[in-house]
Amino acid sequence: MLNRGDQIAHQMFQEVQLPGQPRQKVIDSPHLHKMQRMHFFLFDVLPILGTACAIVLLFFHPITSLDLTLFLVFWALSGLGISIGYHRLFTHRSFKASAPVRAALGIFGSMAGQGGVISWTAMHRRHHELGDQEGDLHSPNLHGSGLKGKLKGFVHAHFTWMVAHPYPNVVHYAPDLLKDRVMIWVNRHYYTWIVLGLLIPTAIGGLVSQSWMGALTGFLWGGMVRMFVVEQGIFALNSLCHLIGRRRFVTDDQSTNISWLAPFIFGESWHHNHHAFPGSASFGLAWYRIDPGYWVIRLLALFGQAWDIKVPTKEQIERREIRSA
Amino acid sequence: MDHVQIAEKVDEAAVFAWLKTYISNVLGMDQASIKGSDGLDSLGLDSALTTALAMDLETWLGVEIPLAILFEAETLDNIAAGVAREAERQHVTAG
Ligand SMILES: [Zn+2]
Ligand SMILES: [Zn+2]
Repeated sequence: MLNRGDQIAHQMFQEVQLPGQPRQKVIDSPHLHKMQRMHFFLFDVLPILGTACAIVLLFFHPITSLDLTLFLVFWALSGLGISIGYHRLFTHRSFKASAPVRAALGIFGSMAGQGGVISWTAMHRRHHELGDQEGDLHSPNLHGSGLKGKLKGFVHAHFTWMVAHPYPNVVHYAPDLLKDRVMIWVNRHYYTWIVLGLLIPTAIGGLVSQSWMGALTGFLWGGMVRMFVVEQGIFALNSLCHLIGRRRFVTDDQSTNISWLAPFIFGESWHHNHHAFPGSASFGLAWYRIDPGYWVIRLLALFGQAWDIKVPTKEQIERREIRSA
Repeated sequence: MDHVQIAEKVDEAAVFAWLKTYISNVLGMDQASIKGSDGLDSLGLDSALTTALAMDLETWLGVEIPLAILFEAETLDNIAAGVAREAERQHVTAG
């Protein structure tokens, strides 16, 4: 049973089809696995070590307001880049945006170190296509039953799936992005954006404080710690938001809403709402639910930088609700 | 992508023609502007796109193509030659 949002996504997957044999949608290759292991170490393991360093350093050198500011600014920019850019715009096309806004969102999203925008989009569309079924790249629900199975599933979905995983066919999953010159350019310079995302807070920290120590703590708080925090938030969507929390709609997957997480991950943790209405720019689906990602899209619209913002009507929402017999 | 047919027997020229059509379709560029001396990188194919190209090439040829052929080749001509050789080799071993 496909809902409308899923139907649109489904159509998109079918757009570019080869006659004859069914198309190969994912590939496992030692060459790619090697690249994935390297990426995992650099951008998923190192930020953990960097965060540990930042915490140990606190005992010798109290955190400055400059460090905190750098952390908050770069956390918000890269996190919103992922939530609004990578997720709501590029993957689900829930609104339209001008070329400069697309580029900025793509660049800030890249700074989060979660992969290039085209790869991320392809993998996430596959997640929605197969939600919690065989082939879902990061389901916590395919690792056996009982507490042990759930725990194994949690570790996989939260973290270890990234060490080596099947890689999706981006021509199949993201043909629309490949036609967007701006996004091809952003995608090609993925590593440049990551490095800039680390270098800029380091430079600001050093220049403003006029000290090497300031450069170091700027790097740690504006680079490593914020990368760690954004990542843990997004990882929680893959793990916790498919394991614990509340369900409200009929969906084919096991996604959940976790309200208390919403302020910390830009509203993304209304993840079950999102699986029910993947084409909606709003994940909260109501003004009183905290959804900073959606609020910023509205703000962009106010300045004419975003338009065609898709949100389901009250009737559409009610129709999908689980009815208790 | 209506141009793609399942390959019967392919030589270098057939692989090159496929590459040209495929790349121009995917990136929305003019087919005539793609030359044999172009590299995947200069055309704008990164590792994500190159991997996708490999998958669709495998579907077309019905044989497995080691990714190294694509990642290590300098030009489209080199790729066409390497792929045609690989397809030939696998057909010989299979038949
Ligand atoms: Zn999900
Ligand atoms: Zn999604």
